[in-house]
Amino acid sequence: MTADRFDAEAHMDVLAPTMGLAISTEQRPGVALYLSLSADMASQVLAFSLPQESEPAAVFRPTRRCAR
Amino acid sequence: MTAASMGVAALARAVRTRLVSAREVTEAALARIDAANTALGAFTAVTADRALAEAARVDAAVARGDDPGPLAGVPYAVKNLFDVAGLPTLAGSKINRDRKPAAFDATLVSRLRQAGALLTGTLNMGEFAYDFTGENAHYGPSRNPHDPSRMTGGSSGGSGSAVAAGLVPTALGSDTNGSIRVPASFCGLFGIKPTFGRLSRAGTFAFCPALDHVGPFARSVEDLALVYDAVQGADPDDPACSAGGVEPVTAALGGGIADIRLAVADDYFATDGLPEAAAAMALASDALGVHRRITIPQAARARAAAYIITNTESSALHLETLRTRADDYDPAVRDRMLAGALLPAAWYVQAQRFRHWYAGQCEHLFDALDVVLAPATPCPAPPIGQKTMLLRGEEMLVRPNIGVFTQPISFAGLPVVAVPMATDGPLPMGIQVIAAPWREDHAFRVAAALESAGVTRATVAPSGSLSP
Repeated sequence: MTADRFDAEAHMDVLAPTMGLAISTEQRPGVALYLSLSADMASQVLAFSLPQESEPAAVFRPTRRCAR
Repeated sequence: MTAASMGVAALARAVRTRLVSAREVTEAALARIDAANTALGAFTAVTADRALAEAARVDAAVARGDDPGPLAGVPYAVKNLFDVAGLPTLAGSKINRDRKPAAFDATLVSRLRQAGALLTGTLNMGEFAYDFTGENAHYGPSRNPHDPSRMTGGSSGGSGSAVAAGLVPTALGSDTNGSIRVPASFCGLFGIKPTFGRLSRAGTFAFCPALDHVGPFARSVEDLALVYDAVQGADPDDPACSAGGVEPVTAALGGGIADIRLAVADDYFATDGLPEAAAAMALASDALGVHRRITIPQAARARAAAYIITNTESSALHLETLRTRADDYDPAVRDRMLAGALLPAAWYVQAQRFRHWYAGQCEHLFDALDVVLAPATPCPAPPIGQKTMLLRGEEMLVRPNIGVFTQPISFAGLPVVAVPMATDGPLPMGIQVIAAPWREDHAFRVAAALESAGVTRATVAPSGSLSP
C-alpha cells in the first residue's frame, strides 16, 4: 500500500456501511482528510521491514480478574 | 511568598507545623479559583464542599498529633477525565454529561486524599484527550496564564492553566502522545510522564489504552517529586500498571548527576530552524556540559505508528457513540475518529509490531547512557484558534504537529520529566529529560540539577496578565 494510491473517498464509501457509520456530506471532507493522513502514516509503518519473529507490543497476560 | 506562589512542599510544611490551617489554605485557593477562572477557563467544576471537608480532616489530624500525610493541606485539581465520586467524568465532552456520576474516586485521587491533599475541582481538557491545543468546542479554551490569548497546549490544558496561574500548586493530567509535556512546555511548568505502567490509570476515561499515561504538574522539581511519590503503587484495577514496588525519587533529588551519562538527541530531534526550541536546548546542554549526541532510530516512523494506534484504538472505544451521536462531538475530533473507525486491521497490528521493535532499540540506547535531552515542543504557545503554523519555513497544521517531539518518546513508554527553561523569550519553552524505562529517578535528578543551576523558570504568571 502506498499513500498516493489510496482513494479516501472510495475507502470511506465501502467501509463506513460495514462499520455501521453514516458519514454526512458535512463530515466527508474532514474524514477524507484524516483518512489520507492515516494512510500516509500507515505507509511509513508498512514500508519498514520487520523481522518475521517481531511480536506486537501488546502482550496479553491472563489474570484471575479477567473473569470478573 | 504569597499564597498563590507557595508550592506543595512549602504548604505541606506550613500546615504540618500549624503555621496555617488546611482550612485557610483551602479558602484561599477557592478564592483564587473564583477570581480567575472566568478569564482562564481552567476549571469545569469546583468541589468546594469536598475540599473544605478534606481540610477539616487534615486539621483534625494535626490537632490530634497524628500524621496528616506528606501532602497535608495541599490543594490540587484533576483533568476531568479522572473519576471524582459524585461527578460525571466529562473527559472534555458534551456526550459524557449524560453519564451517571462516578461512584468512586480514581485510584490516583484516592491516593492523594490518603496523602492529605485537598481536591478543589476538575479541569478543562481537549475533548476525549484527542488534542494538543487545550481548545474545547463545548467548554471554551483553557487559556495560558502567561498570555491568555494563547493556547495552554493540550490535552491537559486546564491542568497547565491552573498550576501556572497559581490557583493550585499541583494538578493531575494524562499523556498519551504528549498531553502533559506539551502544556508543561507552553505554560512553563514541570511535569512527569512516567514509564508506561508506572502509575495507575484506574478510574480514568480511556483515550488509547495502549499509550495512555497519567502524571502530575508542579512548579518545582521537589513539588513534582512529592506528588509523584505519593501516587505510586501497584493497582490490579489497571491491567497495564506494573506490580513492581514503589520507587520514591524525592530523597535522591539532591544527589547530583556525576554518575549520570547524558546526551542530546539529534537527527529527528534537531532544532535547526526552531529558534525558541534551540534556545531552550542550548541553555540545558550548556548548563549540564553535555556535548554527546545520540540518534534515536526511526523516530519519525515511531510517530507514524503512534498515530495509527491512537486513531484506531480511540475510534474503537467510541464506535457506538460515533454511530448514534456523531454530531455531539467537536467536529475536529469527530472527523478524526470517524476516519479511525475505518482503518484496516493490519495497519494497527503492524504499528504494534513496530512498537515492539522500536522500544527494543530505545532500550538498547540506554546501555551506554542514562538520560537524553530533547525539545518538548517545536515552538512556544500559538495564539488560540490558529490552525496552521510555519515550522522551518513550511506551513503545517497546528493540531497534529505540536506533539512532533513528544510522540516518539511516549511511544516507547520512556519516562520523561518536562522542564521549563529560563530562555530570553517572552513565552515559556520546555525540554524533555528522558530516562530509561523505570529510571524516573535519573530524569528527576537531572531536572533538579537544571533547577539548581538556575536555568529553569516555573513562576506563577502575574495576575495582571489575566485581565481580559
